[in-house]
Amino acid sequence: MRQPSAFSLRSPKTKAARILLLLLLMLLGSEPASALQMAVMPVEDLSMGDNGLNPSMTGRLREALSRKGYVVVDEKRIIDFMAKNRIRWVGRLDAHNVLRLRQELDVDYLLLGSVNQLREKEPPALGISLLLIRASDAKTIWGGSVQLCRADVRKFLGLAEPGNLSEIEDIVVGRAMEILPRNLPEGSELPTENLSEEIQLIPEVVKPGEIMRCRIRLLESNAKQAEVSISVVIDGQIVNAVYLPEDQCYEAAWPVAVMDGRYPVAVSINRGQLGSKNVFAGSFLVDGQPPELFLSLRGEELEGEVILRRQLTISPVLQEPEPIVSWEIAILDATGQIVKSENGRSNLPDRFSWWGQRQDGIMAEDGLYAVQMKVWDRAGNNASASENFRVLRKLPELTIVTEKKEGELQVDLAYDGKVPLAYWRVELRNGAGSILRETSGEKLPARLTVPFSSESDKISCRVYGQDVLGNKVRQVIDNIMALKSRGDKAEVGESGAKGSGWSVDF
Amino acid sequence: MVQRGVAGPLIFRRRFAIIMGVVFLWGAFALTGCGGKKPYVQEFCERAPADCQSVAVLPFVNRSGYNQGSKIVYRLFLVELVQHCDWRVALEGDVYKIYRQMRLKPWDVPDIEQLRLIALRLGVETLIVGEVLEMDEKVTQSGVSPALSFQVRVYDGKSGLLQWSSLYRREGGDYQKMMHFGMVNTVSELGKKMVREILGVWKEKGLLACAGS
Repeated sequence: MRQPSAFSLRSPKTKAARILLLLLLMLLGSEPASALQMAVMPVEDLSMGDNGLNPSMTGRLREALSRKGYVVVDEKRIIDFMAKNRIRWVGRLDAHNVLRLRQELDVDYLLLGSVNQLREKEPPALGISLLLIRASDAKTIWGGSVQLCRADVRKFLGLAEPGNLSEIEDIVVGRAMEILPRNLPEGSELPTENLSEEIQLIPEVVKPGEIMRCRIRLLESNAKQAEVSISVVIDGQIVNAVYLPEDQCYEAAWPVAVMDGRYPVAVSINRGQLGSKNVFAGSFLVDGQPPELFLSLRGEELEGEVILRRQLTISPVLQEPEPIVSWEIAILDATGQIVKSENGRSNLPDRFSWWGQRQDGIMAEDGLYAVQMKVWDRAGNNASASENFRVLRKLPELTIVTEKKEGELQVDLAYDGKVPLAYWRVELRNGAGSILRETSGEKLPARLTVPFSSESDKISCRVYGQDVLGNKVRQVIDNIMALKSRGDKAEVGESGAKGSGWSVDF
Repeated sequence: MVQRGVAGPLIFRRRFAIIMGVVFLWGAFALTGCGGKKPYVQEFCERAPADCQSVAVLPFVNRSGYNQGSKIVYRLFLVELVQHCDWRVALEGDVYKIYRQMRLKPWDVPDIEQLRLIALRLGVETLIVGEVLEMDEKVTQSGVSPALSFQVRVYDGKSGLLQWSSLYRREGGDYQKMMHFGMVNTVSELGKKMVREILGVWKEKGLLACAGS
């Protein structure tokens, strides 16, 4: 009997095992060669306005990349990295942070995504764009965008059409994964030299003689401090920068020139073996000239004085317009006490309006006041201006004196206020309401006479008056006959006679 | 009799052929979905720098009133540029960082000096500045009607001078081929198509010195 060979004995099982092994190898072969580390940054959602976040899309992309065979960095580690490096924006990252991400999380690639469009109402639509950045040199190596609206996929009888936004999201992510390149290009280990430093001039505008600083932060990790020398060139003057270990940057500080003007700054960076370069850092402005400030007040005017009756408009004017960083405005009474103040840390408003209300909400009393304004420009130069005005809201006081003489009632109307009268009017009516006498004019005193038959006659009197500032009064005396004869007077604008109704600005 | 009998069908066949030809031409024209509309390109220099290897797309200005309209077109432009050119495209984060350092607001249009400085600091040869002039998406019972118009200007980083610019306006219906086929239903899809067409025209004119062109 022929002994069966080992091969023939194992044949059926071996064949099955081989097929399984082959399938496994094929499956493994379809995945990226050496499980690349991928960081999926939080996806920005533009449909939610500025800095909107779409956690759902972030999650879907993470899952899809995991299924594709990438090792996706844990979401918590990404969030921790962003918090640690104070990355407050989603959807974008600078080269410095990309390189740092590689150092700290050891990622090979990072995916920046943004939801460009998300429409939930019919027909639902979704649009995303993706950028793949190689972490080793912070280069964008791939970009792709996928958009889908339900109206794009109309099918016969609506069969297999995406029913809701979630299904559209699945299709969009699936399509994005289809267009993602299978073999990602390898990168150079050395980061590019471009943008490997961050230069900041502090402050932007400075007073003559003050200290100006230029801070340079080298962004590459392999810069050797001992080999690096940095100098700053300003108007032919060379200032060497020193390393500040606590801030991990180089700083050059120098007192600025006494002459006003704009000064360009160039930075010379010598990285030893890595080479040297000259960079134009920008310019700073020397400003020793305080702004020239004027105040223009607009209200009523009386004898060359600005009067506040209802509202005072204060317009600050700069002789030579320039940006203002902060301002203060105050209303002072005759004793110099502040009755109202306001301040701001922004550019100067075009105008201010004051309605005569004090800080505590009570209306300011009549009298002389001053408006005082202070401004500070970007260099800290300060300027102030002040203008006087008067609050005058007192009603014109008209005096009525009556005298009965030979069957006639004599009514004398007088005014001795400081503000000239613009207009007055008197109406005398009998008990039935018919006008007995009506007189008006601009000047006072004035006399009116009206006949009466008996002492029991009822004569009502209506007095109207308005001064040149627009303050108006009206008095209604029900029975002027009841007033005592000469010597007794009713004053319009004061307490008034019995039964009088007074109103301001009727 | 015989001659008459032959001449009748011949005239008929000729007319039929002419009508069919016209129908075919109309169909072919409709199927291509283009009415000859191409992005308008205005060149301000003789030739693009052949050695251009890097580009920065600066934040687009939104004049359309559409919420985040400039950012949508900006992102689409960035993506298409990366896809169609093998240039080094500056990271959006780097561009915003330079803007912050120069105290420029994203909606500011940099002047010539600022453009030169940005190019120098980013280490790029070319700068792209854009403005979204119109962006609208009307959803009606009959469908969605997106419209988009934007202008893109390309500056030389060294001199800060304008090299060429493109202005383009399209609507979703412009891409309709037949019935609902080809219809563009979103502004983002419309933007993507338009950006592709603009880059295509730039390549045709030899303005983009990409390896892929």
